[in-house]
Amino acid sequence: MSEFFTLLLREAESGWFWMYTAALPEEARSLRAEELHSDAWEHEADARQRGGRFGLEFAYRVILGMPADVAWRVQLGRRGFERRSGLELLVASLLAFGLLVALPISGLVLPRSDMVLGGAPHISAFLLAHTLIVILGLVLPGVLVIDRWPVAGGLLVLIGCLCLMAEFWWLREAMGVLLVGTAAAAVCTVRLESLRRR
Amino acid sequence: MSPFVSCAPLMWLTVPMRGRKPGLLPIERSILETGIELRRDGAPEFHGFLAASRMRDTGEARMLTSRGTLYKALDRLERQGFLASRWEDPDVALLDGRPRRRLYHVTPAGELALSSPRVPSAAGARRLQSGGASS
Repeated sequence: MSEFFTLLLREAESGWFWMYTAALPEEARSLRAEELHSDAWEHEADARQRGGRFGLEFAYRVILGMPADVAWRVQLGRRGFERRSGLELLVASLLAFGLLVALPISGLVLPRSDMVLGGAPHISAFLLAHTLIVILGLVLPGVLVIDRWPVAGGLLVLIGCLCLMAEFWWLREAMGVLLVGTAAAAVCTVRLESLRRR
Repeated sequence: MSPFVSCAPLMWLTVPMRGRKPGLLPIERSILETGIELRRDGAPEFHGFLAASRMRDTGEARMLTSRGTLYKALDRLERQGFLASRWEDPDVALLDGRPRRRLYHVTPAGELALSSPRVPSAAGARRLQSGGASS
């Protein structure tokens, strides 16, 4: 088994780990990563000692353990969710609402509406409702989670602002506010993400 | 489009997980037996890979247990109070030139679970550990 294949395998395993532990609390994630890293090291040392084929053994151990990894993640997710605060529940609900309602409206309905296609600009009940939905379902959850998950929060605010821009392109003042909001979200995201990585 | 959206898709997240029927899975039984055997052989604590390789060497498992299965079982046993764990001193690992290990040992509740056909509940195991069962 070539070194290159082993390296590729480890990278694939890291990718798999990154996927099934996504959005877990950082502590749980890093402890699991450390334990698995230690396991891989011990396995490689054992294989070297026995003259075994580390690459193949490691691959089958990772692949056969995938369903259990997912089951572990689901159990941990549920246990974690029971302890989540009301705020997190609110954010999750708002986000689901935003993704299910605001994005389809912004992407499918607005581009086809008369207003965007050159009709007379006016603030209709539909636009007001859409604004409310976008703010509640995308911008607000983004602001609420930006401290904990800067990239996800920043992206939500950005998407929310883009949805509102699609709606209010004709209103110069609104565009100004939205551009400032987008820039503030970008600055917050970069700043918080750099603090988190330290 | 109605702005009122059902939160039903999210409800599965809030429903507490139904616990599996009490009882040890074969892999969990093997881990506990291996831990006790290792202690008898002079190793009071063991790490995940040691348990897997020991199970392979003694013929309890045909091959090395897959990582997901092994660490999920260890996690479950620890949550039930049948195993306890601690992280190895980083200095010791550094001296040996390897990553630090998570070391497990079988608790009295784990031994009881192994010897008893009726496995105590997690709460019962915790009571046993804290000595509450003796009173």
